Amino acid sequence: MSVITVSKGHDLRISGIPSKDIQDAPRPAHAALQPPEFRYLRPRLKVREGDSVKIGTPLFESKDDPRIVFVSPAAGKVSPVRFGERRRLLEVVVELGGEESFEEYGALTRDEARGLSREALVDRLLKMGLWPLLRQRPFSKIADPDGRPAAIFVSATAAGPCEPDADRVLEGREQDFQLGLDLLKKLTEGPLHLCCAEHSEAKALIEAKGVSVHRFNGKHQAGDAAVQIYHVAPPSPKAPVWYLGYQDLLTISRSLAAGRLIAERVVGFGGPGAAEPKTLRTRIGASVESITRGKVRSGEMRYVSGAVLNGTAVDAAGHLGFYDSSLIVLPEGRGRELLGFARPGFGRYSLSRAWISAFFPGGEHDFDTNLGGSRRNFVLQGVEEDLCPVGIWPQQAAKAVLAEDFDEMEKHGVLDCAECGLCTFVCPSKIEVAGILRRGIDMIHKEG
Amino acid sequence: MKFLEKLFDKARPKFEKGGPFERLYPLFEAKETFLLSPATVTTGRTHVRDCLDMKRLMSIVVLALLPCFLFGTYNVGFQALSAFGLPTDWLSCVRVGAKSVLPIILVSYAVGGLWEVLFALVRRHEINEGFFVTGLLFPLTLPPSIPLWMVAAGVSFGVILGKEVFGGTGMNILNPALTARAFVFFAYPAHISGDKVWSLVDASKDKLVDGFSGATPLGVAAISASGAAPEALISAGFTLRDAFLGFIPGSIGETSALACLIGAAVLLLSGIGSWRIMLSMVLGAVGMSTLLGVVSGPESAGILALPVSWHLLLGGFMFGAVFMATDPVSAAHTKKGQYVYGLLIGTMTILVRAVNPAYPEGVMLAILFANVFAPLIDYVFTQFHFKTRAARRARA
Repeated sequence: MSVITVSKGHDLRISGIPSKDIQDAPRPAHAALQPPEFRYLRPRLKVREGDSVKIGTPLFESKDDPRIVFVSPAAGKVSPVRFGERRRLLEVVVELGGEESFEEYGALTRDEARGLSREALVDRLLKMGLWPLLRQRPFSKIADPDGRPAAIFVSATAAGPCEPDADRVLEGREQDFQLGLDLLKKLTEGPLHLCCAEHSEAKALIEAKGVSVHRFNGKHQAGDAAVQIYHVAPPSPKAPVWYLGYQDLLTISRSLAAGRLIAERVVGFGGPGAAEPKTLRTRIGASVESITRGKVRSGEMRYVSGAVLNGTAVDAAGHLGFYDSSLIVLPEGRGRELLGFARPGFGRYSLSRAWISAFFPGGEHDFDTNLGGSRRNFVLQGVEEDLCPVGIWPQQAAKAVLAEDFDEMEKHGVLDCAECGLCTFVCPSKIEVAGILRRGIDMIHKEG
Repeated sequence: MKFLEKLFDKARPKFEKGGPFERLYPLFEAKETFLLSPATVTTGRTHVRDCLDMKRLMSIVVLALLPCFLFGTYNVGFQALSAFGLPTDWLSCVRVGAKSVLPIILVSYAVGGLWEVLFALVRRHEINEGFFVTGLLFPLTLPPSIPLWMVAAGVSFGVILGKEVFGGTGMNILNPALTARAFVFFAYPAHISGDKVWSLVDASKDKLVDGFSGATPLGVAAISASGAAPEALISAGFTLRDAFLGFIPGSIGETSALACLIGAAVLLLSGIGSWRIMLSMVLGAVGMSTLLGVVSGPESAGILALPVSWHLLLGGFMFGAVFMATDPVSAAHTKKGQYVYGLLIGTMTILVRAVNPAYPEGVMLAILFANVFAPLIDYVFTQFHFKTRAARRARA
């Protein structure tokens, strides 16, 4: 057991943080899966509009490996499928109708589950649509079923202020959690790592067996799986590691034992635009409406599935992301100020001290989506690297990516980037630094 | 304010694609975002931003420059009126000073701004705020008697060849204000160095007080006999206190170390200036002047043994340390590299001043020299950074 301090990072003092008590969310009217979420996936649709599906019915599969299927989190009818430019599959929505039925794969007792061979386990995970819950680093893509990971990581921490408290979610789920760990152990010859918060007291974590436990302290980024992996055992393309969140693990073990997909997910709903921030028990891919229940402030709002600094903007009629455990509502910041740059600046949020508000450290801040300036070339130095939790020099690495210098990119450690979004957040030139680094990662992936 | 918004909203279509004034969009955008903060929202995956932007950053630098500008204006008048033996109450000093300083600054902003606008229009990008700083920085490094057409030539050279040919703000290798000054220095040396330029007086024509010499303190020290530099300075009428507060002849904005320190405080407090560069530049100067003092003998020029306290207060050293060396684009970018960069400038400044009889002033040349070396310094420290990352992987 070791305590790892992640010295760099930043706790965004965003307002609208939900209390960690878990309440049940109403049943959503519709749920969906969004193929663009899965890195490098080329989906092949397996249903069409109007088809009846059960929970666990495949909606689409991977063209590159058809064993990897993506199954419906809801039972009902398939809505008109959403396509984007050049017939890119954007969203497959299922309208819930009446009593929900499941695709059945045969329940297992815990001992039977533990007795499965590696091949049988992998086979079940693939068939039941649970495989996409396993991702690998580098590249943060779905794990390769034929691959042999050097290690597997389970991240049992909250990575952002609105995410649910891991200890609460794990209450009462100790047996399911241990079963999950035992199953994961079969998948690798290397170590199984469990990452928790320094002061975590969950029984499931304290009594976990067969794992190397690592306790983390630091800012919110210390709870990010990619950051944790970097600090314990940085992977390389030749020696990838697999990883998943603790809720993903519970989904796997509970579904395997029950023989059907248990798509439950605890989600934090908050942000400055949320009128009643809450932590809710809902399902993977639930509709935004079922989570917000209309308790959103008036005005033009942006709904973000995932983290504020690294999340997907979704429609009010959209859905929670497959891997996401928070939904944040932000007011769109289209307000304009007279001579904004010349004002003393009370009530501003900045990591610099260029505004008076820096000398009156405040509490929570009502963020909005205003860019805060115009896009320029890189000018100020050192601001991004002060925050990077994996020790990258983001500005120099971004310049290497823009120059398409593969060698330099890799030496800068672009593959270690956790995409926490802090570099983009702080850049005074308003450059999408994390986005550039992501392009670098994609470039390296493409080159092979 | 709503009225302003409506005004711009109505005018915007004329400047956007397809509108009759499409080519003048950068001008429209510059005026609009100067008055009204932009309504742009984030796209991409990071949905909120730190509110520091280039406009604010440059505004803070201009704020930091104000003490030097204000005191400099006063001091120009003070030096001139003292030379004539006229009363030096602060109102007269400011009046006389402003009469010569304000036109220089105006020309600098107008001509430089013209080039910025032209390049922005031709290249179809927004007008960058970096110019607000360069336009004020350059005049503060000039002697008050400089002809206005030289100011125009200098700022043009600085903006075009010091910045725009490289791609504009953020892409330059050299400090644009210093490039402009270097141009004037080498093209019109008689107007920017020597004894005649630092006061608004013409020693051959005007009726001056007895004992007036137009030399700057550094000029006096440069011709002093071995070991006698401090005495020469005192007998020329300069004291350490005068040098610190700035009541000495010199370029418009650089005489007062106190004003520069106030500027430094603004830059450091706001988190915009690099303390590493400022500190290591001072340390480099301390080191080199001590070394030279040790090796100087009875045959050496007096300036070799000039105490470090004088070195720091004279010749625009403070001004260079606070405002010029710290330009984030042309300085070293790596944190450790900034120490080496600053040390290099401090060391070179003293070396040029003391050892080279042709240039009693070394800060400008030292900074430009270090600008050219900054990428190499960064390269070295980047390689160390790579090694550290690779070693970390190997250990894990």
